[in-house]
Amino acid sequence: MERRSFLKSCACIAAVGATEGLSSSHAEAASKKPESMRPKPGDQLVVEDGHGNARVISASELKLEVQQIMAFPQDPVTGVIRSGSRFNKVMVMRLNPELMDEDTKKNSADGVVAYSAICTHQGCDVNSYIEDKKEFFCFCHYSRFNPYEAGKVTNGPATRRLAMLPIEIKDDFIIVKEPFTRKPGYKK
Amino acid sequence: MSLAKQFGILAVALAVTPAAFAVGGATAAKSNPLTNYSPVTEARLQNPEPENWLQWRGTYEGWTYSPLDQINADNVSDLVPVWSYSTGELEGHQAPPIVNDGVMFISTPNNQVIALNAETGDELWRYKKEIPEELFQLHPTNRGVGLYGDKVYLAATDACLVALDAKTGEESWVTCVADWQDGYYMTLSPLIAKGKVMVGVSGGEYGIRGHITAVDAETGKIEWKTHTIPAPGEPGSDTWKGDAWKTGGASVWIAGTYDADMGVAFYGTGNGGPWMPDTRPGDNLYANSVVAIDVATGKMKGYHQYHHNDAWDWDEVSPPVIIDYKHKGKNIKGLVHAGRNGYLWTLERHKDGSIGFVDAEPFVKQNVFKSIDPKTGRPTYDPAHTPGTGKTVTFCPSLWGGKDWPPEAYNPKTGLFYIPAHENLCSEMGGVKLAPRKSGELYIGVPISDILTNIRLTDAAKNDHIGEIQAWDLKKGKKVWQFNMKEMNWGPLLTTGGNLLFSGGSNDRMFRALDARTGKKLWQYRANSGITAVPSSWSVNGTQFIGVQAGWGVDAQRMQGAFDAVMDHTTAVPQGGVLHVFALKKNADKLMEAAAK
Repeated sequence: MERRSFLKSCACIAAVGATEGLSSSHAEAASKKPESMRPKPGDQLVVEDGHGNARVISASELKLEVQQIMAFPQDPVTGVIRSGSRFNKVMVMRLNPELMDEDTKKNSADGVVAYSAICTHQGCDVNSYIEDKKEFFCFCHYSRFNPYEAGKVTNGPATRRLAMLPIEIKDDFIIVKEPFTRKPGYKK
Repeated sequence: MSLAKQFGILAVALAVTPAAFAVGGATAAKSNPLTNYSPVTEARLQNPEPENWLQWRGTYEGWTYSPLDQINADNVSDLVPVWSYSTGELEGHQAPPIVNDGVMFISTPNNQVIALNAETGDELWRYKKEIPEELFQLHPTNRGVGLYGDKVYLAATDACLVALDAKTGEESWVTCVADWQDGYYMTLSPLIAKGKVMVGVSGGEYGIRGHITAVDAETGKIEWKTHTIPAPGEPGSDTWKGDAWKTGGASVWIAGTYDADMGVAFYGTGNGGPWMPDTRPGDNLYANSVVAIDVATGKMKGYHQYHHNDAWDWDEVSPPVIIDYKHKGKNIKGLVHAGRNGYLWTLERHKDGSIGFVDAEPFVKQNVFKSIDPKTGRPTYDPAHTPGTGKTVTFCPSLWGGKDWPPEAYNPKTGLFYIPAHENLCSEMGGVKLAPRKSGELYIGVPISDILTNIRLTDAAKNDHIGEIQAWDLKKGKKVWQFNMKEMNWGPLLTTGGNLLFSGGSNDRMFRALDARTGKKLWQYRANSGITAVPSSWSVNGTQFIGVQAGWGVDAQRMQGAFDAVMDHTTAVPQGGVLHVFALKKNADKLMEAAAK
């Protein structure tokens, strides 16, 4: 009996914990402004010009393995660009689908991929692409990531792969299909 | 016993654990130096007791000098490690152990302060500021806490100044001086005088407008804020065109020095932003300058601009060291600065706060300045070595300069001024068309890929050396000795009354003691990581200690990456912060016994 009570208590604590987790998640979502919320299915990817203007990226403008474009998701209904959080910044690029592994392929569309632009090491922008290695590159500490293997780390100090943002293409626009595959950002 | 009772006991144990953590590893049997914590006064900061190290460079003058001489050139070969302490942080550790009557405070990357028993290494308390998850900046480090009264001050990377209770580590107040989301951050050690805690902001690479802010030490109220770039209509504003002043950089990321008699602080300022000079035509006052600030009012009383309209990323943030000396038979109330631009500047501080030019000469190879005006110190530039937008050129020294941020030192016993330098390094760099500024994003105008590959090694760099420690006789205006390191030197210096000079800085992880009179290497220790922190010295119960944090990162690590890209070998320098503390072997046993009790 005592043992059962103890286990029951633990289960309750776990349940409360889970509920609290959900609650805080909901609370966070509710308190966040739309521009800071994580990308949502149906958002389109846009490039900001620094003056609050946005240009929708078309899939056809992306050439094979040419330097990534830095983009943010935009709610197509309200026009809100989700650049209120830098963790929403993504790199968009066209790759060769034949070289992709399965995880990469299922989150891509016609060879186009979108990855979190935030390095998983210390949070710098991953804004370079090394053509001969076919790798994303972080200038802060030289971490490299393979866009053909779902953002896998190929050179440290980063230890966690980049988050992917699953996308689809509709009318040549790049549309968010699902939330990030993992939490974007880094652990301090 | 029932499980419920056991659970109850567990709950009680958990409830008391946080209090136990508050005193860390200290046990009841040991005396706690916090019990009789000595308040820090301005008089003590002006004349620190030899056994203490009360501010990041030891004294207001910036000498980084300890008069202690128990450890000296004759016995330093007997120096041994007596304790060490892991900080739990990666990245660049740059802060010295700051010691007040047996209590040590170290700051680390990620906005952490640890209080330790300066004799035994027992932890007394630990504080870590919660920082916004999305905050990102290029220099994750901290250069030391400030002490005043019964408080400890930390300039945090979210541009907020924190006051902690020195006895408990509890926050007394937090005052934010700028908006981190707009690219502002802080890494410097606070300067404290006249009851004010003064801090400056980093962020030149994000298009910020630099400033120095004074905060009341007791209440946290902002007393004054002085910008390092004048607004339209203010003196010096005619050295800017259009709106360039709003994003012109001139950041202040190193603590100033202070002349207590004058009540004036001397701060160095960073380069203009964006990096290419044609993006901000004009002299760009007060970038790349030393500014004299009246601590009581914040009024700028004088300045000297080392070089105008910077094109080379040559920040001049190191403040000048306050040294009075003779120059050509005349007594000079001097300011001495080893510039990132590769020149050793000697200036004069006048009674009214203005700054006069005395002399300047290169301490490393420099191919940019064609002349220096003998009256004003204003240089002329060689356009062949001056980059611009769409104009890529080579120049020496490199963008990391003849001396970057690591502080110099001055030893009144030897009369020598010591400089940690980089020789035989050049850069190749040019700008591209600027994209509009986005708040909190890099605003440099030079491609990151070009910055990463900017280094150009001269034959001397490949075949001889790069890192140096130089010793200069200011009276004669001559270099008297030089110690070479094969590759880089990112080592701040400490000199002592024992005729010693301590420094790390090299990628072989060595911490060395040199004879301060001759430059001869007398002792060395290989640490867990590269050392880029300011060493310090203190004594407790008759034992002199030398301490330094190891922890490679920030620009030293970036330079290593650049070297790895162009040299015929790569060098692994592991990260991880550890405080290393040394004493003479004869004292080691009693220290171990005291710590074990």
